[in-house]
Amino acid sequence: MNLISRAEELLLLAIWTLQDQSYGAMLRDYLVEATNEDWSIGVVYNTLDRLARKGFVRTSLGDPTPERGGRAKRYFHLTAEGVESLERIRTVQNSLWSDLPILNLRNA
Amino acid sequence: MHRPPRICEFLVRLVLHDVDRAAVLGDLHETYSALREHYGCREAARWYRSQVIRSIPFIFHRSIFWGLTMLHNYILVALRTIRKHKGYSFINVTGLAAGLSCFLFIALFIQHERSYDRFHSGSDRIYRVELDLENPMGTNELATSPGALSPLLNRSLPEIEVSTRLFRPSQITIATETDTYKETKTFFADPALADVFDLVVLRGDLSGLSRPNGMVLTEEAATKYFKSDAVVGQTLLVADSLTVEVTGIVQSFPSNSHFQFDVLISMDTWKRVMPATDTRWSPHMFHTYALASPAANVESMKATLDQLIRENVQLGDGWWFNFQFTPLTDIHLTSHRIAELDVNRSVDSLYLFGIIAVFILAVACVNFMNLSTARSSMRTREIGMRKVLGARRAQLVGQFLGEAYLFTVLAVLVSVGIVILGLTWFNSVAGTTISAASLLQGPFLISILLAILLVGLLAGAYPAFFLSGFRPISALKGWASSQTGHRSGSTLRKSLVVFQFAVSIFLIAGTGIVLDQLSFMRSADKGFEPEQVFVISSLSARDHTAASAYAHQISNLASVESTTMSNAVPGRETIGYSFRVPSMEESEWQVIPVLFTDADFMEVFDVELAAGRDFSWDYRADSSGSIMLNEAAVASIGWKPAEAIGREFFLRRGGTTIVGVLKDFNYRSLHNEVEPMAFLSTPIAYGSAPLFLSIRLTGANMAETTSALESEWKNMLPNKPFEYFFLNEDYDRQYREDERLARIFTVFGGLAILIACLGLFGLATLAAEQRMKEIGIRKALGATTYGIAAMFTANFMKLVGLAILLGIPVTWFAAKAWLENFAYRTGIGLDVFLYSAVILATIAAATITIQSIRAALSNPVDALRYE
Repeated sequence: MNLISRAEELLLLAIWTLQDQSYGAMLRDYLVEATNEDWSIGVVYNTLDRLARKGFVRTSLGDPTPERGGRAKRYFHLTAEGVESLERIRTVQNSLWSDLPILNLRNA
Repeated sequence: MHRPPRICEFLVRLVLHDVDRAAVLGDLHETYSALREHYGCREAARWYRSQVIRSIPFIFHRSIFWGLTMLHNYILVALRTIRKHKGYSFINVTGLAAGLSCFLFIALFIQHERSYDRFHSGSDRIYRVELDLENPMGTNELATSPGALSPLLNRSLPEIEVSTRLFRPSQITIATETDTYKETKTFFADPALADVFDLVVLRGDLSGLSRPNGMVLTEEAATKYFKSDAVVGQTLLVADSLTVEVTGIVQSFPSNSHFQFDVLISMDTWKRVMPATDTRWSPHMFHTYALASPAANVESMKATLDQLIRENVQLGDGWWFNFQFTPLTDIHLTSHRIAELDVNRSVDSLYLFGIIAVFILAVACVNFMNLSTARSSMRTREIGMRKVLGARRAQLVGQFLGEAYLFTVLAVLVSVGIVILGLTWFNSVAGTTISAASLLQGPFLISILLAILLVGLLAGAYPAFFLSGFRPISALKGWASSQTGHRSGSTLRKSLVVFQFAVSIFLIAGTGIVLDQLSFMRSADKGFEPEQVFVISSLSARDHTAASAYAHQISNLASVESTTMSNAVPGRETIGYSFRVPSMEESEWQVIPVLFTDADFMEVFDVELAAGRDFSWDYRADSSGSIMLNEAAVASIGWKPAEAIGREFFLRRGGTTIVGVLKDFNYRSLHNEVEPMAFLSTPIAYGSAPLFLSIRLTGANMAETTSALESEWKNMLPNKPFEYFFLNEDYDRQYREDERLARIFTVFGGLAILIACLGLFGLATLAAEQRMKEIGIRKALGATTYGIAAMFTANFMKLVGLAILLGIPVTWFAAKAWLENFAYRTGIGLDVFLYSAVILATIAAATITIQSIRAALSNPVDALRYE
């Protein structure tokens, strides 16, 4: 399956939006705000790793800050393939969402 | 409160490493700080905790994923290593597997020997009550006791719940309607036998033991006699006179029982032959076993019994009964009394086996560790690379220990397989019935597990802990190997090789010495001639008349030189009788073994006279009973041979005269000195005594002679089975244990050499690889192939030489100690050691040479290419 999952899609969009601020804590905050769900840091990193393995993001290391207890930040950046994957899922969703018949929700 | 919750942080830190750890913890910390500013410490901490808890599964998932990826890499590398050094790895695993299998076999055997008689449910309460017969000539430690003992125990010793007797005639005839058999494992038993021991009834019942003329058989015996299942109710003819009915079939004892039986006949049946069995205090021909109550105390039982004996038994002067209680489970390993039911082993020999087992295992393990360590010293480059790429110490340790354990487990699996497959062969060689299931017992599993842990650890310790600590740059540059001096010539490794070869020389030379002693004993002058003596063994004293007629008949055959009859032949037991000579006190009787024979005895066995005359058909006195003594007997009385002639000699049955003195001959094996012995000139000891007809043959046409003897037998004694043996073969049976020792030494010697050579081969291979550059340079500078090979070989041969020098003195001392067991021993010649050394050196040289030649033939270009 070449389609990315919802979490992966959301994360890629978050990275796209946040540009140079795309590291773990920021991404998580953005997602929590956008989706109103309390994402755990583990899920975020897991998904990021999967994206990295698939080649849709690449990582780089940043500087340590005192707020992080002196630890470095790990930044994530979109790759061309990542953008491509976003476009693909968008296309698929669009085509599915359009031309939907009227749904009769009464129990038959 | 300004820090995130410690525990949670620690948890995360535990599971994640390096970059991951920094990123995740850093993010958590950042958000925590922000939350702390806006909402306070407590809120922030609560959020932190909930985050960590919710993230744990995912974090674990990550680390497992990476762990698996690394594992994949480790396995790949391990497999590549094996493929690159195929022969090497094979040798390594094989050597360890061989050593382990040996160890397992011996351990199984030792366990078997130590488990004798434990399958009876009362085994910890069963004692054998034995008689120490004290008489003026010393104390005879018997395994047997009088018939009256058991009833006395039952009556008057409250600590004894029940006791039983077993009596085994040395041979007894059992006949079916069609066949006659001479049986040696037939017992007369009290019905209480089933109360003391566990008898498993397969068919019918044990009622036969409680009444006269009843018996029970084992399955094997039943099949032998009746060839069918319907056995209960059938009868057999015992001892030509008793018709006994079979009432049941029982299971025979497993191999770890100190006695085996085929047939159990009721004691009541025996009482028809000897009615006073329950009241007589002599003869002592019964094996008495007692089941004591759990609270019984041996000391108090002995004391009570002593008292009872004093009160109830009348003995001659100078005679005393002392009874011993030996625990059933101790019999097999510690009891070596007279008239034991079966051959018992000594604890010493078990220790010997145990030591050999540990030796071989140690040698194999040492080899394994040696080779693994040496091989991994060639992987310093790999280690260096890994460290550069970010491997942590723990990861390296894990990798190398893991590889070592992989090998170890493989070797263990192979060895267990070998043991299971080879169990049937082993059982037939050692005479045991060990099942594969006993491998699964607790002690074994534990020891196998321990072995795996220990050996794997030691094998992998060097690369895992030692090499991984190196600085990557030096490792990459290849300095590491020379810096630590851990080439194939390290002291530890050298001394281990020396040790292995010392063990090998011990075993080779040891085998040589044992074989020497054996052939010495066989070929030494025994004072009589066992060759060409054909002995018919199926007669008893009752058949004397018929046998004499037969003997007379066959002496007409051209190949028959002479015949004689006796109650025993050299190598077989004969009975001791009380005797007295006039120079001794009236009541002072001593005991001497007496051989009942006739006038042709000396001729058939080719024994010589020291003084006096032989028995002869011409002398009337001889037909009623004259006596000859051997030199040892005469000396023990205190006479010179010539002085003994004409003296009176009293047995309890009556007095006779000493007519001759025989030169000492080895009636028994050369393990023992020649004992005093008396010879009576009538072959009949008592009515049912065995009678042996010994025939000296010329040795020509053996097959025809045998069939001629047999057909004449069928003519004259059709009702008796024609059973015979050749005296020299029968006599040699006494050396069975020693032959077995020689066999064992040979097998283990071969194994030890194999393992040692495997180790040597591996080391030589390694050395060749490690010193490739050096060899390349030497060749480039003009060294000859021969020169290099010689240098290489000489290096290792020095070690072998040292091993031989060390091993020989140890062997010498051990051999001396072992030879002390023999009254007649061969000297330990220098040639044994010489041969062993040469053999060992040759094998070792061959092993090394293969590799050294390969090394010497290598192309220097290949070695120096990358300099």
